[in-house]
Amino acid sequence: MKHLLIILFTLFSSVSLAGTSVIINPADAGAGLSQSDAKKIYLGKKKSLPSGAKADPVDQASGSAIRDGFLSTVVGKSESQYKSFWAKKVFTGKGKPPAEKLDDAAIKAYVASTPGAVGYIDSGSLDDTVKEAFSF
Amino acid sequence: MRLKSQTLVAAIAVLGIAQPSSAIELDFGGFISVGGGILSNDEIDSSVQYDEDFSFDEDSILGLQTTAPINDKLSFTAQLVARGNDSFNIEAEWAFLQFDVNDEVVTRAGRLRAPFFAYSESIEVGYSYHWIRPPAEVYRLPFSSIDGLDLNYTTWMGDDWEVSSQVYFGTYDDDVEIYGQEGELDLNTGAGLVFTANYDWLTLRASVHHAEISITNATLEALDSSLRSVPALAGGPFDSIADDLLIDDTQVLFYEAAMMADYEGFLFIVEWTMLEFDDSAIPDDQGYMVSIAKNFGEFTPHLTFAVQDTDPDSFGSDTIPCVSTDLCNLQTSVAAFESEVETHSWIAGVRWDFMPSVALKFEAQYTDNRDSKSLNTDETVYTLDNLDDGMLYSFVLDAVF
Repeated sequence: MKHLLIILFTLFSSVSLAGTSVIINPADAGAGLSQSDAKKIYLGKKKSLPSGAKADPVDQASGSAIRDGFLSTVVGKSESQYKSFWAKKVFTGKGKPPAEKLDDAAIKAYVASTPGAVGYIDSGSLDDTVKEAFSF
Repeated sequence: MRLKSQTLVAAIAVLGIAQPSSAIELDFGGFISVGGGILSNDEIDSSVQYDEDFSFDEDSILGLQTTAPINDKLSFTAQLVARGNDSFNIEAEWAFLQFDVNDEVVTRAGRLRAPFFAYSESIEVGYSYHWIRPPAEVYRLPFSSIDGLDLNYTTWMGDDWEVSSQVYFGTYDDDVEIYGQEGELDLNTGAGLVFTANYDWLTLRASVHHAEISITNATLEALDSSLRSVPALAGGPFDSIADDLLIDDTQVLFYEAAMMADYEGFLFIVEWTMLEFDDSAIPDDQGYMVSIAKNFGEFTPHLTFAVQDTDPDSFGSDTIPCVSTDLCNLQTSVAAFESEVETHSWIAGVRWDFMPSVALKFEAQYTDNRDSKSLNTDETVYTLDNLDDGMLYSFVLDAVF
């Protein structure tokens, strides 16, 4: 019975760990960041965070599952729709897409050291160098 | 602004020179489309220049863009484009200095893409939309750039509506082909106002543009000198008809309105445009379209209906007496410019996003030429040839890098 509880507990924790956390720099934590803000920032429509800092969003690598999940849940676009959207902006001189970072560690390091930065990582990678704005 | 170099290598070299030699960080990117098509019948006079033999040139495009930030507020962007339907001649479509006054106000100076249509600013970037090319019944103006400056103001109304307005001024000179002859277009005092409102999935757009345009054209000049040289004995000279036909400091107004809804994978687009040319050989016309598309993962099938309908001026061809072969020819030639043209097109196609940053598209377009006739300027008398209805089949591979 005890073993079963441990197994169940482990299963549930791994389910919650599979979530995605949208993270910001601790300096911007006071004003927070809503899902709607994040969508506007990743589409280049909002240029600053609620804290007033200049927005500097970063993406996970193209083709990664966590990126696909973030784009469909938060941004509301598929990878190709997102790329098409940004192609239109880039080639009309109206901005550039979020920079791509290799993995959770690279994104966390960037967000931790950059006020205004926004990223998303596996909730299991969270630590206190960054602040979770929201998760899904 | 047209570069004389004939090869892409030269363009790459030009951009290559601008490679970082200092601390300036350059953004560098490009887009490419390779496409081809075939018409079911040569007598369709499709505005897309395909014919009965399969050809690759019309929809093939290569573009290279670089942006150099000069400081926090100032940057320079250049885009060079080589088109298959222009023998891959290289043109600078964009070359501007941008000054970000603040988050809401941006001003640009240099060569800008004229924002006549909802998709005109990214028309060369096939990857950014679902068609192979936007419908030619609507996207029909013979030039697309402006040399001048613009001012953009973008702000939020409440939390949900992003509204922006753009005002621009400029001039433009280029070679354009009308009535079978290449001539010089001279656009003075071009100006326009574009208003856009965006609510998450919904975009509304309205714009108005004005310009003073002169076009030199051998077809029109031949007619002009014939009209002016008719002797008084035969009722001539027909100077006022000649004056009306000329495109010389002609006032032009262009109106456009569009709605784009992109909701849960459904795309619904309506765009309407109206061109008003003061008395001239170029008729007033309207072009409008409705397009729907639905995204199913990698596949986006779409269907579009587009119409172009002209409303030509009356030049008084019936005042030219048909009393000799020459005068009859003249009357027929002037009457050719008084004929209405109405074209309907149905476009069905699919976009397949089969790998990242690359899309393959297929389209079948049925063009119903209704009352349309094409002006035949091969003979001494200009006549109207009947046009057939028919199909255009085309494909394109679009990529961005």
